[in-house]
Amino acid sequence: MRSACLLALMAAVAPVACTRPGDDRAARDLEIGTARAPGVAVAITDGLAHVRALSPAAGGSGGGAIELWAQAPILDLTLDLDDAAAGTWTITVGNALADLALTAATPSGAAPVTELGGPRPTVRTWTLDLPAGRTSIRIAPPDAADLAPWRFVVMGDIQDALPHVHEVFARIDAEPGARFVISTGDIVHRGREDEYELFEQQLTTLDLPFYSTIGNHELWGDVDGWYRRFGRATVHFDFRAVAFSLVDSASAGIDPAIDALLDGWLAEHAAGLHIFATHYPPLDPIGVRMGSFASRREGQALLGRLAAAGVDLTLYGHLHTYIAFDNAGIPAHVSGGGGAEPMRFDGIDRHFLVVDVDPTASRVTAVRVVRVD
Amino acid sequence: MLGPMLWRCCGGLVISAVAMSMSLAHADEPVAEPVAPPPTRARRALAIGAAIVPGVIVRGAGHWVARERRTARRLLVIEGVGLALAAAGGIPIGFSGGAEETLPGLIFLVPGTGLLLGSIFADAWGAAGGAGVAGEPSPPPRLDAALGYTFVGDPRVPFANLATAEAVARRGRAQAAASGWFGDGTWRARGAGGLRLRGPRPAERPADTSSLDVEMAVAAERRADQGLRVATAEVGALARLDLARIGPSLRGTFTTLGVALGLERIRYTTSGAADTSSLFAAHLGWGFLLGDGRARSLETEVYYEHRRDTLAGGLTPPTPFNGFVGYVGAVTTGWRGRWGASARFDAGSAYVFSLAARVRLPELQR
Repeated sequence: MRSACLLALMAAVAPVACTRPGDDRAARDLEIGTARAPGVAVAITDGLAHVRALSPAAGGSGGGAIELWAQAPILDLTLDLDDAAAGTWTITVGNALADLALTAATPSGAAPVTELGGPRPTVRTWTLDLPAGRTSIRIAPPDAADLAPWRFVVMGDIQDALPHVHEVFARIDAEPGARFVISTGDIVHRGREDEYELFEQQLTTLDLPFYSTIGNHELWGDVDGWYRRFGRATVHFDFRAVAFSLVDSASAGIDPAIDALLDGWLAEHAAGLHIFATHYPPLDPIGVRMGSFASRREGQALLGRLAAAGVDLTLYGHLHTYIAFDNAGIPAHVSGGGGAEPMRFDGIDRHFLVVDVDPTASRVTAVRVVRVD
Repeated sequence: MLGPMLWRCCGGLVISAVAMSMSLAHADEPVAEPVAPPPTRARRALAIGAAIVPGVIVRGAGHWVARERRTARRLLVIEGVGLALAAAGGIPIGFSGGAEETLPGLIFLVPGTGLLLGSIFADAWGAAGGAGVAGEPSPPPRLDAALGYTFVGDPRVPFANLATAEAVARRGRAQAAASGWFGDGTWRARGAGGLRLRGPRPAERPADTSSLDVEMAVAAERRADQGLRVATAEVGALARLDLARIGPSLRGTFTTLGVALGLERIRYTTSGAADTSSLFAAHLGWGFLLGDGRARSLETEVYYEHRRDTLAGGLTPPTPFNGFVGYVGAVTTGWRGRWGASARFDAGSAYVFSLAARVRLPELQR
């Protein structure tokens, strides 16, 4: 009887206790950035954009259209066309920097490109005539290699404030010089399709691209809603000599497959400026609250790796407040001011951060809190 | 500021929660239920069902159907006390979004939750006629020592197999404990000293297993592969309530409630940096005894452990609560004379399974 009781208990908790709750997402991340259609294949380096549509022209007349959602400021991709697919292609990038330019190298040399602009600053469209074979395309802004100081914005935890987040976006748009927004997740409250639709509508009011990882609230609904729209939950990119690792911790921890990727990024950028962002703080600065990774031991191990690799700044969400502190000697900022139900008694409601970086000096020069309310 | 505030409340926490439930149940001593005809097999089955639905909502429903009305009423009172405590602590924390100023509410939330959960198990046990198989308690041994093995199912850590050792020595009201594990480039050692404020002492055969202990502990851990050294200091209290005090149908069962406050110092050996973090831990359990308490005995407890610093980590249910919960587990310890064995299973973000061979002194007389 006692053995049966124990086994019953183990069976009861086994579905709840999962050692890799994020393994499906880690696997799915790897599928992002590639697409095929008759006569054409697209591959985006490091999965930094999601292929929302790949539409060869009807009737086999050649050419077609590609629609991408960018999760990084610079995109490199290859386009493989067979003879029937060669022709005029239209490439549209959503969530784009306003000053992106597209260059294409075909087997016969540089392809002529026509810039068509877009309906708003974050949508860019080009047409180009492409021959059969492999075309390498680079979509990047003119300042991609500029080592002058620059800035970006950080925000997180919008959740049920989606109907009003355009007010935060308007304040971000008014911030001079910011190149893009980094989000630590929880862009929706319950992961519903209508929330994702509303989020995209609200994004049309933001003049900067919004690169985000996911939070635990995206897991309330079918996380497919995220993948079909935005692509990877974990992204890593370099821009103007600064490395960004936006890492999926939506299950209150990091999947070992993502950890392996992170180790590579940490090694690659040990000597440069590296900024790490994830939803959960690995360790809650108020330890008794436990608003952090599910395992303190995992959080400690992660911070040890970040510190050993010389990460320069850590950014978190999940707690709907603003807290500046150090973890493992690395400056850390919790910023959950996107509008989700705010923490009380902390003296701050909706807000975002403006981060100034100096690539030449290889340091973060300032982190400024901008209050919206 | 938070730590002292919590600690000021901590001393009375366990005592007040247990005492409140006991006094509201008007049960200072084991009580006798009015004589009623024993339930038929059909009624017993119905009672078990009632302990689940609506028992999960209305505590004591199982006992009510089993015609053990006084115990049913007491379980309902305990549920009410639990709800009140949980609401008193939990609503401010939830309303404030986990603001630091409201975290002392954990002092009410944790015991309240313990009463709510423990009364579910108690109702089901009593409704099922568990008292018919329940065992007798054993006296606390003067020395309880164990050697064992622990398997850690966690893909995030570079070890899986650990050797474990522990020993608890008791003399009068005083208690000292040492435990540790090592393996695969990692080790942990923990020492503790405590005092039994209430309850059976070594070699005393208890009629009532209720007890209240306080403990101070320090621990050190090395994780060589991860470049970490962690030191922990904790102060806590653990209360155990013999549920026979609530009703005779609950004879041989008990509920436990523990809280601890502590500090954790993490040193990152690769970079030389260090962090200090506060720690709040709580234990909520329910268990039962089998055997005669002399030659053979077995004690089993299922529990929720509100902490995430152990090998098990914390549960990660796909809800907004996956940032704030600890882990669940079960432990069973059996004795045959001097020798015993124990098995423990914890499930959080990792699975941890432990087996140990035990010896206790002095050997109990048949």
